[in-house]
Amino acid sequence: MQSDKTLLLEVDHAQATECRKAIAPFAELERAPEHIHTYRLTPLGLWNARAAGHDAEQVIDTLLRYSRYPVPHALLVDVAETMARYGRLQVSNHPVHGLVLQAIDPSVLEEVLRSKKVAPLLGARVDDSTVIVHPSERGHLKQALVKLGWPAEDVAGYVDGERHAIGLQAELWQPRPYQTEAAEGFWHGGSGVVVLPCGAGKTIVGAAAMALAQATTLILVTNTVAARQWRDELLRRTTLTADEIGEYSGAKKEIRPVTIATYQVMTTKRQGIYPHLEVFDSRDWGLIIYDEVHLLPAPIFRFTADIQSRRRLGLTATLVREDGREGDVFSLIGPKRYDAPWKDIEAQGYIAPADCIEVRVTLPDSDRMTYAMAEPEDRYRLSASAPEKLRITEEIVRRHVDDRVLVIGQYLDQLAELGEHLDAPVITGATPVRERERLFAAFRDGDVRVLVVSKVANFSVDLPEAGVAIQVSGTFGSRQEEAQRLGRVLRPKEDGRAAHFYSVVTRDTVDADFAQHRQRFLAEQGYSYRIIDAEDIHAGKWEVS
Amino acid sequence: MAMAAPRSLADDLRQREPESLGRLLRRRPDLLHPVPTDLTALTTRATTGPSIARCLDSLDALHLHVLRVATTLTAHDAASAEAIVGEAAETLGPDAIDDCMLALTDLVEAALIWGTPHQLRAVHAVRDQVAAVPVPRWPRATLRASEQHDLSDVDERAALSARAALAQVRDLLDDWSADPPSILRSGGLSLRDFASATRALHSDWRRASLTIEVAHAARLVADDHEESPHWVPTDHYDVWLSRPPAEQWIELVTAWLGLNRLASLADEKTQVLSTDRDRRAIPVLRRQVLDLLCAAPSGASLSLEQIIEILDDRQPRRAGDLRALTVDATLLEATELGLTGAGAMSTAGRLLLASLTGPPADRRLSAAEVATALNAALPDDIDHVLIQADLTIIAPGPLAASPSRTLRLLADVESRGHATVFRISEGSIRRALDAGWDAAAIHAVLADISSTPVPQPLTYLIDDTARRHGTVRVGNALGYIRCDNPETLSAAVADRRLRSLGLSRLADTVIISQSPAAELIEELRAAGYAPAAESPDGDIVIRRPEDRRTAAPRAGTVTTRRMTEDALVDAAVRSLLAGDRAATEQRGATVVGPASKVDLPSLSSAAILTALRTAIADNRPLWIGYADTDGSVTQQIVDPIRLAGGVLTAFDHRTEQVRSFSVARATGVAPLTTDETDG
Repeated sequence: MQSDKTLLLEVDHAQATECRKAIAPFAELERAPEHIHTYRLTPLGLWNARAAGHDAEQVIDTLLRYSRYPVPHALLVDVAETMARYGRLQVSNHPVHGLVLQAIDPSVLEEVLRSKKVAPLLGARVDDSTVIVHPSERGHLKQALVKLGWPAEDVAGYVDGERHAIGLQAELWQPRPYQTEAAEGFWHGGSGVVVLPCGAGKTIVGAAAMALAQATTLILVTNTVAARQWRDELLRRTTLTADEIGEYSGAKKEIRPVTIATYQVMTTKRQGIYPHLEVFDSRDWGLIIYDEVHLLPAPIFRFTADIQSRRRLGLTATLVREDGREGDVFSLIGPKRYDAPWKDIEAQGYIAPADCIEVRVTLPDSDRMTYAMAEPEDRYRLSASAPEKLRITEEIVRRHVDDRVLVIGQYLDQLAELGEHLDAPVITGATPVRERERLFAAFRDGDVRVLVVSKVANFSVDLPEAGVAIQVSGTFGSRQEEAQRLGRVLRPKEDGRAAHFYSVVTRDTVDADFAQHRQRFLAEQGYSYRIIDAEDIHAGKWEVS
Repeated sequence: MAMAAPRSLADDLRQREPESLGRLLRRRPDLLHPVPTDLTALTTRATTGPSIARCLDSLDALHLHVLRVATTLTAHDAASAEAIVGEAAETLGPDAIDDCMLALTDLVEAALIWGTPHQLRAVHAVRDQVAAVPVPRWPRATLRASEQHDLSDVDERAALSARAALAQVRDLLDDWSADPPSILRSGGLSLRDFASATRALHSDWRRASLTIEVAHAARLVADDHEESPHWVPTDHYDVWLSRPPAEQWIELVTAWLGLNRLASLADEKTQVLSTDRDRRAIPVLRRQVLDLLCAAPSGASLSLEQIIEILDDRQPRRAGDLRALTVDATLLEATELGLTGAGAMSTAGRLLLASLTGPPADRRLSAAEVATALNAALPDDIDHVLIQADLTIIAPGPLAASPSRTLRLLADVESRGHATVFRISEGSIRRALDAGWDAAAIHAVLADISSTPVPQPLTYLIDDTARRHGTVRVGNALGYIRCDNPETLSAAVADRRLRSLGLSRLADTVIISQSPAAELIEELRAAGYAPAAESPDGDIVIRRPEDRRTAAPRAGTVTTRRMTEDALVDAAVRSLLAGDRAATEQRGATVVGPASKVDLPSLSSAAILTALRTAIADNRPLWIGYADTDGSVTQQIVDPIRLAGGVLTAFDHRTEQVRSFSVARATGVAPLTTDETDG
């Protein structure tokens, strides 16, 4: 245990598995490279553990049992004190006064009442340790309390919502054990977030949660293609019929017992207001599912704060938010209810093993000159769309004749050029949804072997048969984009073959710097990149493994 | 003593045995400075407010209680010991009678109460000062273990902390060797430098401040007294580094014990290394806390509250913010320095503290014992690390000093504890290249230090960085940029970001600049080039600055002087008794000189000093020839007591008083013959 509250776990140690299980409830896995995994103790993590029923004594006992060296006393005290802060305040239902904030310890209530951020959210004082909460401020209050370091336990319960029968097609398929565990973990916790790697079947966890809720459900997804895929998956996996599922997107505005809405339409702003947020109120929803919760846009957060009496399930591959709003996810959606590292699920055979390769190309001298003289803001674009990348991409595609290949990039002209060279269709944000779906279907069926896609394909596009992804450019150094893109090729293959993920990078430019930053998340998850020189591939010194 | 009941305190003191007077002077040492001429003077001094206040400060709660009862009962008339003790124990309980009696006897000895057991009186001046004394807690606070630990566990924790403390000092001073922080005009370390040291040590304010203050107290870092002064590691630091860890530790802890500041009482607003924070009482208070920890049973930890409770009982008048802060700081600092583990005194700590109170001759022997205890508790150093594909390097335990310093150059520390996580990056590799390493050397040292294969991405990173490193060279003396590649220079000339440097192309491969080389390097690097400085003969200049050193200040004299020196007390008692005889017997005004004179040879002052020191050590009287203010030389027999600052304090047989002699005015000294000593 380190002084900055990270825990180092030696993977090869005989007790490593046992220890990992013991610390998982309260420590967050920060990175999982090959020898030593790093976990971190954070207030959020410790509160998550408290919410799940673990007490400080258990946590301290675990730390002492597995630590190789004596654990500094101050750290143990800190753990105990942090954990003791959770639940000193409770949001609950009072038989007379309705929603109240109740303190086990009146001095804590005094302290938070003195905060300028909290006071306006509260109503009249009932007694020493109870104060009325405006029902509409339930979420804002919890948000503010987490910021003050006194997270409130929300035991006010949920409205059941409008009942709606939803069953799983049990005779056709069974959810995997971890999916059932995740759905049940969520259900018992009331609200919260399930963290599963891309390709591990988050949709199924959603379906299982709906079957537990037996109520009308609002599903929020990133874009229209993802919305259609959710619908198809629900039709296939559950007893729901096409009439029961509505789509609320730019194209359609259907409100049905199960409605799938896109973030994009929800956050469309007209004359300073968000007209589509009323979807939240359009029905008496019993469950709200947030897909890709790490991308949840700010207006949705704000609205989510107002609907704290409804059950909320967040699904994501990573809690890492590039904007650092992990605390809002904790207070508004709920604590983390289930988490499984990628490598674990890969080891169980539910996602394909992946071979990550960084291919380095060199700028020719003339381009180097142009690059050196370019303005800083143009440099990434220049280096990321270096012409040399075309040749090597072609070469890699040629090496994978038997596989289906996705070429993913950021810049439209680069993608167009790639499409031309590879003689492959190109899908971008401008491609009509109908055309996109047609191409994806053709790719799934094997009629199209190579697809060139822009970042529209980053999320929730189900292409199970893609075995090779070649990334030629990206959104600068976004770590979660890298994870999403790798996720595209991680669906298990029928023949069990490994997936290949290539990242083509221009040496000695900002492209290489960004690539390094992007790779950090995956490297931390145990995916190590091999580096290959483009020259070696051209020279035939390299074979597809 | 078949004498009449004393009529006054002076009378009482006059009736006391010399030993009893000696005990009085020992417990109230302020009465000795200067030595009063006779008992009347002593009595006057002993009944002044300040002297009484000092004495009361050292008393425990029970003593103060008994004293208050005594002042109340004797306000108008004398009271008997039984009456005082009875009244005092009344509120406490019958089991307090014995303790109250002992306290009363002690108060008489301290000259706060006087008289016979049947007729006791409290000194008047005491009354006001004890009027508000509360009834003490009964039974009294005692040392109870707040938690009992296994001694081996305590020792292991302490040893690990001790090692971590040494590593922190090393890391701090290695950083400061290259880049010493400047000294503020007021004498401390600037807040910015304090903050950056805290960050670099991956520590917090309190612990970083402790490291800095202790390094300074141990003379490992000091003012370099340059025109713009800096805190620079001293030459003594190099000596310290060469010593085995246990000796390094003993040196640090010893320095800490004498420190006049609360080293760890710091936050982001504290001016570290500033003498403004000095309080002379701190070393004494700190020692009291440590002595309590030593007094507790082995393996027992004491809580902060408990220590304060005991100190409040032992010296209630000294209670206050400073003491509370000292207790808090001392507990933290003792833990961080590895004196205690799990809140209990370690074996090595106990031995070290015991050795520091013993005679100096024993210390070397004790140091060996301390080292043995410390080494026995220390787990073995780790000399290998694990290198991972995400470019982290992990030392899974306490890392030996040499690989630790290598890695701190090659990589940045990401997290610290008993294990260390380093992250290697382009920047950190460049730093190593700047310090004169090459790619091959880095590969070799990593392969050597790693217990697992070096991951391929790291190999690439090193080669890439090395390949680019130094392809652009910058001249210092001429302010030029030279590069074998004309395009690079074209790019640099065209680069808008470099416009401020006033670059102009001299030749295809050379640019000259109006800016100094240092600025050039900075700007070029910011613009994404990887420049290296070049010497006039074309070699790459190794950019790592020389480790800077300054002279260590002289070690302070060891301040382990015992509270009162026996010799001084004895002499003072003799002086008092003689003075008293003189005062009471109205002896003749002229004091007769010694009967016989000896032939005193003139000696050099060095010889005189040697003779005086020998006489003090042997506790023997001698003849001294002394030039008076009028220049006449007299010879007298003295008992030398103390020699300090060129002044000899001695008991003068002629005047039967303790007086001072300036060594400069001594003309010669000679030992006494046996019969003279007897006479």
